[in-house]
Amino acid sequence: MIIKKISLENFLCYYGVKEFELSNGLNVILGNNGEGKTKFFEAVDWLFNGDDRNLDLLVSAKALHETEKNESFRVRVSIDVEQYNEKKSIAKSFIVKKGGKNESLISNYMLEGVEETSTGERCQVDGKSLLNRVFPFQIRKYSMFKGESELNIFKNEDALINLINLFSDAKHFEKYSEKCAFLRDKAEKAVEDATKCDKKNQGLYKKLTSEIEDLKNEEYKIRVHLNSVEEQIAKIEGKLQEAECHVKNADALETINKRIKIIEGKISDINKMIDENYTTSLFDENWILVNFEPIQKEFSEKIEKLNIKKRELQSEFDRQIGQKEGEKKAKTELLNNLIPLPVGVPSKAYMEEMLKDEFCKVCNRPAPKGSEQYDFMSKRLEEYLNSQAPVEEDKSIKVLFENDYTNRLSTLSVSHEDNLANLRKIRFKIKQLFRFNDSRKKDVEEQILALEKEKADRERIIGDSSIGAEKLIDVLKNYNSWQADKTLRYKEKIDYQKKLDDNIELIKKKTEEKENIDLKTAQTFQIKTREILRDIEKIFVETKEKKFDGFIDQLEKKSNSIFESLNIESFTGTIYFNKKVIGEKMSVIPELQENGRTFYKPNQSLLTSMHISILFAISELAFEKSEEEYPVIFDAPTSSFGEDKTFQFLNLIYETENQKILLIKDFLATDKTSNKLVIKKEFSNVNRNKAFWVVLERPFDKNNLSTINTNVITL
Amino acid sequence: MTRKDDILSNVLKHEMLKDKYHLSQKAMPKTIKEALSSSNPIIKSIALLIDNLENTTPTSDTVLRNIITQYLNESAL
Repeated sequence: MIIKKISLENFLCYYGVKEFELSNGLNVILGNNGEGKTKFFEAVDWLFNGDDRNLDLLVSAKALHETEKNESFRVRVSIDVEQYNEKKSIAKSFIVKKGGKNESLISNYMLEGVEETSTGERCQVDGKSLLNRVFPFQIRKYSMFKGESELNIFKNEDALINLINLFSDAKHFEKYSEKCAFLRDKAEKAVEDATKCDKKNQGLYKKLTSEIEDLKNEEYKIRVHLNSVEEQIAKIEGKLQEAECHVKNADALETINKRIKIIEGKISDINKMIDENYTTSLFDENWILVNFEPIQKEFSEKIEKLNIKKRELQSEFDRQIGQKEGEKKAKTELLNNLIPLPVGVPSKAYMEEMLKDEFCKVCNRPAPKGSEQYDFMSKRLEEYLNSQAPVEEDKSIKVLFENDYTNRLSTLSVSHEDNLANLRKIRFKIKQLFRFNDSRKKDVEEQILALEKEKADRERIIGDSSIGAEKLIDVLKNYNSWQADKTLRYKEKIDYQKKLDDNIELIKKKTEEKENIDLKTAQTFQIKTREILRDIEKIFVETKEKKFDGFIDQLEKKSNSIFESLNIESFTGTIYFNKKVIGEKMSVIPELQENGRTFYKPNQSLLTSMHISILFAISELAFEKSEEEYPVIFDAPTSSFGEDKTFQFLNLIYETENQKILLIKDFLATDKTSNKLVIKKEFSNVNRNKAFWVVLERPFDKNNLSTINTNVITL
Repeated sequence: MTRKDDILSNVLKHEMLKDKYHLSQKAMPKTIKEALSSSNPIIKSIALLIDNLENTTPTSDTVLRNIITQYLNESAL
């Protein structure tokens, strides 16, 4: 089926009648954003799949504005198609009658069909049935795609069943699986009933049946867990792959961050070593005394001179004092006869002994108490004792150097002299400290240079990465935790797989036990019937699976062949249809693989290529099955491609067989001199069978829909 | 080839018929009519099943069961 013409009449931005005379092969419709591409797509979608709801939302505002009150106009979308050399037209329309301001009355909604035979005879037919005949509903579902997100048809759970129903022989075997299961069930029941009739078997048989049932329930649960773990592994793998493109950078960033930290630590340590508290050292460490020695020398010389002078003065003073005292003493001695004891009396004790003995040992004759001799001795002793009594100092005589400052200065000078050895070291210490600080400052400068280099490297890494530094560090953290998680999940998977295997083995064992009882008890014909029905069920189920796998294999091969041609000279990987069966539900997920490894996070452009390849493969399958081609309509399918890849893409799909209508915004630019929208020269190199440009009539007011009218220019 | 024959030929390609029932491909019926006349219980049962399910008015489950089970029970005797 080929769409020869699409006509839009007063449909949204298409005011009046606008026609697209299409060709077989590639039809490209160019249009800037908001100039009518999507409205074209919506018009066709409304014709194929729409109904009579919200019709007022499809009316051209300009048509409504231009129409007089109580006047009517038509909103219509129609296609002219050619099928088996016969022309057919399908049109969907309704009438709008303008009422008061902004009011409209909708009527006469209809879907019409017209068939024209090869002889040129035209006849009116039911539009809906004609549409389903020329373009079956199931095929239409895989013919129209808006944006890149809709291209993944397998997002829809029913897509696989629909495709199988459309294209695979597997659909013929579906009912056999059900019927065979029913027949086998009944045969099982017949055997069971027969076995149960034998009462001796009842207990054990019941027990085995219950155990097998429990084990099967358990098996289902394990399969659910296993599937869940597999899904988790796939998710983790996806995250890891996404992170992998950053993780190399993240790894390098972490290393550099560590190095930066070490260098910063070194700088801090070196800075701590630098001692520049010179003011403190000036006083606490006596640095201020670094030039004290000559002062001390001068001080010392002065003190010495002072001491000499002092000694001279003191000597003179002492002499004078001595003289005075000598004079005084001499006077006293003269007064006291100078001899305290008589001649021949050696000491005070000798005199006291003579008095005690009342005998004069000088005269060698007795001197009794009261005698003249005795009184003489006693008087002389008293005089002696009086002369020996301490003489009170003469307070009238003053000390020359009352405070002894000179001595103190001398002591200070001596002390300074003693300390000079230490003071002499200060200069060396200062030199040493300055040298040390200078050296450390040089170290700091070197470390700062190294730090700047590391920081520059870090900037480069962050610049090379598509994500920021913080996220890059997070990526590494997450990457490591995801790796650990993955290992854990794989372990879980192995555990569940083992549980499942054990369970299956146990079911097999119990079933054999149960069947042994059947063999001994039930009738042979019942056993044989059951066995044949079991085998028939297996044969049909496996034949269906083989057909299904064959279809998927065919789809996969075709998709990959197209996928490869769409991505010449760039990485494609391989499209792989991952079949999953949980319980009775089967699903197929198309994945990209590289050497058998699933590529979880392909970029949007690659993903779009993959989805388009699958859609084209389905389109080819449709052709092979029905020996008829159907058109595909894509609205902005290559937004993520960029103009170069779109150019390449268009030239490649030009080579494919069926009719394609592509709405794209590429190859348009504003001319700098005229400031008008123009088609780029590059578009002339795009292979296509037909091209159109949908462009808003200028001038228009973007805030006033009644000024909006899209013109169709055939290029 | 009718759809019945097509389904039959697909099913009769199954390995089990050769491995377990020792039926060679050469000996396999080509049409549903041939299969319905087969003396082999599994071939005839398959044929009965296909013949019933591909009829424009398929028989009910119970009738289908009676036909096939009865045939198998009797042929197994």
